[in-house]
Amino acid sequence: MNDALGSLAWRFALLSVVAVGGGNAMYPQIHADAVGGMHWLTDGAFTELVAVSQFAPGPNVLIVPLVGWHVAGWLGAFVALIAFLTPSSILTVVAGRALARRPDHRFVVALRFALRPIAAGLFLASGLALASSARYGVAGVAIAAAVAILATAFEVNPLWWLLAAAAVGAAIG
Amino acid sequence: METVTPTPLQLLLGFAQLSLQGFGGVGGQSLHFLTRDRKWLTDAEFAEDSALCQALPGPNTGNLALIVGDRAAGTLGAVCALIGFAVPSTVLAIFIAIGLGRLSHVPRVAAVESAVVAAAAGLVIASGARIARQLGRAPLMLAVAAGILLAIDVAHVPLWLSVVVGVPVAMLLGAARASR
Repeated sequence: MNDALGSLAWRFALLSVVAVGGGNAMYPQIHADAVGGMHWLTDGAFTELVAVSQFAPGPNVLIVPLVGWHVAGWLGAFVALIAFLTPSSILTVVAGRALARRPDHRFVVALRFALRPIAAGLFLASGLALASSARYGVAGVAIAAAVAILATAFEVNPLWWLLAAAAVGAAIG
Repeated sequence: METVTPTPLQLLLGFAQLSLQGFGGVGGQSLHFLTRDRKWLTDAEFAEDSALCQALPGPNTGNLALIVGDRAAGTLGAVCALIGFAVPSTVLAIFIAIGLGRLSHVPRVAAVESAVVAAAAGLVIASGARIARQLGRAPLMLAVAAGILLAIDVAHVPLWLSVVVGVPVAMLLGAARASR
């Protein structure tokens, strides 16, 4: 058990420092580690945990504590979560403070301005990739397009769009 | 646009709420929550901070929680925001994994799940469109956004590489425009 907790901590701490792009970008690497390298779980169990991490409310990185839970129960879940969050969190706070300390420096002004189009491109790319990962054919494309247009036009709580989509999904079956 | 400064407790509860209302990832919800609902960030701050958070490793919205929390209340604020973001949703997800283990083969459950993921994708696209609309007067910046989109979704360039190349290009184009 202690061996399992130790390798959970080590694997997810390593993943933390290369996990650019958040949850959706990490599935291939976690699959390679957890199914291929460590034989912690089977392909089928991994697929089910990915579905839960997408469907459960919360960030896509929920896949990390879910794999930890599968390996070593609740303790495993929190060991994996803390190991995964700590290195990247320290880096983020340090970087955020470094940018905030010199807000008027030419380089910082240029960087903040440059980050806006990057954010727009990353959001659009991530949304389109997620739409194709829903594996729901024409209905999925129609739902994603309708929500994208409606949510741009009307500023209501986004939860309503998710609930409406769930109702459509239940009706189509 | 006026913003307010949250306390550590407000950060803990606020990011717990944001995290628990996010299906298929929290990215699509965070713009509305942070700029309209709580007014912790302006639209421009959100665009800059979330790009920084996507460029850094770790969960995008978790990093955003750290930046917002640290700016409002230092290290305590950052820790509270991150705990609120990560812990309640982890506990709930494990209970769902326990329960869903028995339901996952029901077709209607799979259909609802796919529909919700598709809608979540639409919300992320809408967030991108809203930021892109603010770039309207800077066609070079729109071109950078389009370049990032094509690099990742069409050319399958790794995300870290797209950011490492895209940011200096956008800075150079911005500097060229400013000096004209």
